Amino acid sequence: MFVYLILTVIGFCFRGENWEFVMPWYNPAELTPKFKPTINFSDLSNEELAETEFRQILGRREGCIACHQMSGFTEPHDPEKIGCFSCHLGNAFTLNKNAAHKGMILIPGNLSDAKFTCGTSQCHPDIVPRINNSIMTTMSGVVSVDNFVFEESTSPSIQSHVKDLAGTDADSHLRNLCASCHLGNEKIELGPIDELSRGGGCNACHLNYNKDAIEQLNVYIESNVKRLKAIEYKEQMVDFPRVHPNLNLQITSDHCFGCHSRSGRISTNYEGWFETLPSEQEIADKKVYRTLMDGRVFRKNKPDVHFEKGMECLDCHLAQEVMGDGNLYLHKEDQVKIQCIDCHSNQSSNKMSFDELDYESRKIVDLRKSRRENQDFLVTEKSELPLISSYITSSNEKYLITKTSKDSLPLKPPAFVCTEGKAHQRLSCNSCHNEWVSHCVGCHTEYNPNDDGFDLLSNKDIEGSWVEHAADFYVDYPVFGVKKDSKSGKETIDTFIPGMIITIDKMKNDKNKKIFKRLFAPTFSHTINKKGRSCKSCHNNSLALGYGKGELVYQVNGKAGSWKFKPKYENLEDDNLPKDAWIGFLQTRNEISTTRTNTRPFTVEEQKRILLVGACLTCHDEKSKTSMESLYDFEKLLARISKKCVLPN
Amino acid sequence: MNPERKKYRIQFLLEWFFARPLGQIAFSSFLIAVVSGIFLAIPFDIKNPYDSISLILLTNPGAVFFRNLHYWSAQVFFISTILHIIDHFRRKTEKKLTNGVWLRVTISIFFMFFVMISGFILKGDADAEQALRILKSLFEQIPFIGSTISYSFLGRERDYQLIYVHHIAIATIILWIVIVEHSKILWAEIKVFVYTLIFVAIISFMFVPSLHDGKSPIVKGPWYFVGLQEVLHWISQTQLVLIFIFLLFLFD
Repeated sequence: MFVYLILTVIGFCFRGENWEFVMPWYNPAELTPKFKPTINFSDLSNEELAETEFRQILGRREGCIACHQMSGFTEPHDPEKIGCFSCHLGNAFTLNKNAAHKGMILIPGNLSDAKFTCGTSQCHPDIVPRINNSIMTTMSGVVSVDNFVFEESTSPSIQSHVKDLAGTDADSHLRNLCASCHLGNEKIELGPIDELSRGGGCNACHLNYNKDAIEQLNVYIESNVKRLKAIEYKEQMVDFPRVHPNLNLQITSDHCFGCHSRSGRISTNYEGWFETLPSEQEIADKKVYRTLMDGRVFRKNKPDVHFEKGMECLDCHLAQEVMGDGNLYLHKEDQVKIQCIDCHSNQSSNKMSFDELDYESRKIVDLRKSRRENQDFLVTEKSELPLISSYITSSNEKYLITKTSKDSLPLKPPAFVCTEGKAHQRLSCNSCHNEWVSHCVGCHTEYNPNDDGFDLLSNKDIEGSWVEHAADFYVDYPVFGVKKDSKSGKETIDTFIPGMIITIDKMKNDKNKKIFKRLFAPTFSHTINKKGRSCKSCHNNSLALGYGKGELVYQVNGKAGSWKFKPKYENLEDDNLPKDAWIGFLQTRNEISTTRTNTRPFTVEEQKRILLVGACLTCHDEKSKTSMESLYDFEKLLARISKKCVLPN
Repeated sequence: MNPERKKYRIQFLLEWFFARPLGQIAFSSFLIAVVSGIFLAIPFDIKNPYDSISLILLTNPGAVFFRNLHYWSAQVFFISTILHIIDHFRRKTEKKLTNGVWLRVTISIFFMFFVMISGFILKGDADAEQALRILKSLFEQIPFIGSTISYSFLGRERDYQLIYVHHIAIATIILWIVIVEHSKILWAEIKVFVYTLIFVAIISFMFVPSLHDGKSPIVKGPWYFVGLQEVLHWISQTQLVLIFIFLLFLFD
């Protein structure tokens, strides 16, 4: 009996979910305590009780609706169908207010509770594990590259997780300046997702407030503040909102904006804004400037052509990308499934009928009411995922229906210059079509132990802070480099920006250590233009080749020709390269010079080939017959150049 | 403290404890459980047990009190019966019973356990369903007659009718007969009954036994059953578990 008693104590006190061993004082799966005193003391009178109808919801009755009648829900999340308890927890079986609210989650949907709220077996059990592994939760690339820059690891591509950040220099740097932009960051304040929002789990994308919900929330906050501040207001009832925010598929670019207006700035790039250094007070012509809620000032530039057509982020990016597919990825581009050729192709496209769709895709099509009879969906080349906002007509015309405005946009194939001939076969689409990128050069970062800081991971004030001093911010074409696909080995020429050209000193843990890093990062800057770049903007452009800005001139001296380069910026002492350069003129770098292990700058041979064409362009117009022929077979063209041509030595 | 003095103090406490009329307390709490169960049967719907209990919890404070009373009196009955058995072994007074009575008293321990666990199963929540599944699989592992026993005690899949009949009638009547037979009294001593009633009523007024909300990932049986679940966690072969329980029962 004594043995059984021991087993009983272990079973009752030390076993949690799936019979795992837990400490009784820390059992995260214990949502509400087992025996709750006084929960049978109802706060409702008998008359009120008689008037309330407790409908059966998901096999049980819930007491929540006795006090909370709200509207504003989408049908799947209507309390008539799922109750309040499914999301907010607490105790559904009591009418005692304190007991009912014990263990309640005011803002469900954060990843810390998503397993018990959104992700239960009755709701979305397959999605929460995917999000937990998504790079938007792990921040793997950010953490890994930061560790590499701080020389705390030997590779920028190590699987990492933001929740594992500790107290090293790199970790404290991230915790101080970066570690809020992940889905594990909790939403703790009521209100819509806005420019200042970071993280929030499922709410980050799916939470929407309509006009009434916002108005009522503001009234509630005001009435609560008054009640707390002044004694005379304490007796007044607080104006609780009656309209609940919505959880739906209306995911706009505004949801993405908060986090993605940082780091690579793709949200702001997409809308045609680039960040500038002046403060709001300094900008003279306010029409071309915009100040964000966090005080950063942006200047107007040309937006992405997709933005101009009315497309939002989710019109390209699929659920399997954004919420993840369950796999862990090292860097963000590894998680992305969509490519330009999935929509813009002159090949016959892979397609899928509605009946062939997976359950999730079918569900989304049904919810969006976007199904068209006898019309198929496009399928991505990578991972063979359906583009459920697309359709192909019987005459093989392809269209995309925008998710918010429901416009039908024709999907045009690329121009002949993109696909014909051998010359540009290695180029990615955005190599030509990226209108501009943001360049940031000459950063200096140091740790100041006397500054007031904030730990973005634990969300608390700390002593000491990392301070970044930005030097030059400007807008220009991207730099080109080479990316190698790890699976196929195929090399592609792609766009890069300065990941960092940075000096770090006065570290938190070692004041004497100084680090200088010049690393370029692959980017898809989301500033696509329809027309594409001019030939000279690549072949005769020092910035494009990685030398930095400056004068790149082809000098002909009799029968000899040579390229000369005079950089705009002075060389830095640390590595004797111009401030904004990736590589030296007609040189290359053998050490890791990028934030990836599968990317590199041009080799000298590649630079020479590019400059060879550039030499031709100094005489031949881009649209001339010669230039057009060179796209098809440049070697053949070279074999029959005229005597007047002077090629570089 | 002097070790001998400490030993004396423990012995004194044990003597005092076991001097309480544990058998009377057990009988009193059994009677309270029976009477409160009658009142509870009125709003309880065997076709939808979980739904009816959740409705009781929300709309019927009177029924909630009787549910609490039923639950806590059952716990007191169970614990005081175990202590009563220990006490008799301790004082070696079990030899006073005749062989027939001794046999029926021993068998009644199984019915006592069954009436407790059947009451738990009749909640119809996730905890109850798991307990039912475990009990069913244990019964079915009994050689030759396992399926028959399982069906006879637990009935059909998703049908609580038979368990309900056993709980409110058969097991209860058997227990009452055995209690009366071996104690030779028809009713508990009035003073003990009143004290037990007051004690259980106070607890019932304050504490409501939980009903699984269908959300919590922790699913466990009642406290007297989790020891068995713990054993099953370590020993996956249920026949071995049955032998273990049998040996536990035999040696105790």
